Amino acid sequence: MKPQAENPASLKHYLRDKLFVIVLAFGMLGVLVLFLLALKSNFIFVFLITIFWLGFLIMILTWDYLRRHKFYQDLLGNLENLDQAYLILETLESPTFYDGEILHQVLYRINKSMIENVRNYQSASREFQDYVEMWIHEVKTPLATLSLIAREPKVLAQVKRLDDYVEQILYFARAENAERDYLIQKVCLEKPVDKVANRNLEIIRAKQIDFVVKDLHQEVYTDSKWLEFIINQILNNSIKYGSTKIELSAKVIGGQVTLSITDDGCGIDAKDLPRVFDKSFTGENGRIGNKSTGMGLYIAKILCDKLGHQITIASQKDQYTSVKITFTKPEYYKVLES
Amino acid sequence: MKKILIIEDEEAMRQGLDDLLRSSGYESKALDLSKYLPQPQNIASIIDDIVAVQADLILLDINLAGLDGELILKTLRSRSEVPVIMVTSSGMEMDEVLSMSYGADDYITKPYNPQILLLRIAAVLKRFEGTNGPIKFHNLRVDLNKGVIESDQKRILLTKNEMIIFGHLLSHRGEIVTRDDLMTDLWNNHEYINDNALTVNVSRLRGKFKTLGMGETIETRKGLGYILS
Repeated sequence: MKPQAENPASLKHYLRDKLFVIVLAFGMLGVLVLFLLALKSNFIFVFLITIFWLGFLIMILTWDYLRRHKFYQDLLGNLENLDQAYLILETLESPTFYDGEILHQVLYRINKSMIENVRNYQSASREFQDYVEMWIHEVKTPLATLSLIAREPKVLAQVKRLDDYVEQILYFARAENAERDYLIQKVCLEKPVDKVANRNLEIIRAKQIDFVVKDLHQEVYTDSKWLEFIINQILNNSIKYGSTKIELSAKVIGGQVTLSITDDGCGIDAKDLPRVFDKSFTGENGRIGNKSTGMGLYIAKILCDKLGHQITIASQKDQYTSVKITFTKPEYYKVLES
Repeated sequence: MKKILIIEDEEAMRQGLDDLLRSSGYESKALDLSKYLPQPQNIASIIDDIVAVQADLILLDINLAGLDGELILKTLRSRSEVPVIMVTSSGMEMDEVLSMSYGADDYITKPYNPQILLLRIAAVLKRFEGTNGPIKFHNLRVDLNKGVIESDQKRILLTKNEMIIFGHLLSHRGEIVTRDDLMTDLWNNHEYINDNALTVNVSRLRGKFKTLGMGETIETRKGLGYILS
């Protein structure tokens, strides 16, 4: 690719391309003029022939340049402005000159084969996703049975970990095309928090963590299962990284509800903080703890984006970590009827 | 003894539930689903069998292989008012409102904590018996809904935590109640207290009984839990 300074569809570029034709035309003219002079032709006649010849050359080149220029100008200009460059053909009129037609056809065929290729991948990934979802539902049954049969707290704790990991992959698979299975409803924050709390009761007790909830009687528009998952991810982090106290509270600012989950755990290094929502990012805490997949917050962030919630994190190393989820006002939601 | 009917297609799950319920002092019976399976349309005979069991409570898995749990519940509702706890899978878009609209009295999502299932069962059964009025405990009148304990001379108010703890001990009177059980009950009632707070609450509760002249009514069994005499 040439730098942007020179427009490939410029006149200068065109003339350079046609240099051979122009040189040849002038050569022919020279030969013709010499020939006519040798025959002692009238000077005025020779002059007229020259003018005519040059006029003809300029006319042909101008006509040829203009019809190309229009096509290529559109092509390059649209390419620049399109988000999806592969849609370029849809924006162009079919060219009327020979090499333009070839280019158009070639582009069309490349496009078609690319679309087919992408479609193959799409259906493969959709199939895989369907399989993963199905598999997760299958694996949930023995997990449910296991958590019922296992009376041993240690076994229960491991079953719960398994279930957490299975849950993570379920939501990861869903986050990719979330359109099909979320249901936005009015949810009181107490409810998902209560579910997550009871889910983690054993480990919170075992680690002697103070679990405090404050002012959670707020209604927000969300998918309660997704929100449960998100809160569970954040809470799991708080539990994992040495907190002795975890506080969940809600505040209303300007009609928007914000849920804060604050712990007094090991905190996050300032240099790691901007990247905690990145995929597979584990940071310093992950290297020390060695139990991070780097996926929890990443998936939580994707789900929040899809739900239209804002998720932010603030932290001070060895002091605290605070995750805030802000719920947007209801009118932005398309409330789906079940 | 309360009789609970289990409608569940997973063999291992059925067995596990059966064990859990029996060890918790219920009589349990599982419905043999396999005999309906060649002709799942025969819903009336299933309902006949369910009603014939005369259970006090039904635990119904809504996701039955080859059978329609919702339809069973709806049809059952037209013939019987027996309390039903619906079991759903976490993958399903099933919420409280929806399950209640099918006629369930409560619902629980798999995989669940067995202790919480037992609490839910106890709560639904209690609601159906209508044991909401004052209960006699020794020479005291206990009204758990209002959190009031009265003797002839004195009237004592309990906090919510104390009510939950005392209520749990009362419904398991004469048995050892572990701290785990109490904790699960408290958390299930949105009281997310820690172990220290539980100890404090129990000793406050003891203090209150002491003023009623019954200091020894809640005994500690070291390493096991508490017992109400």
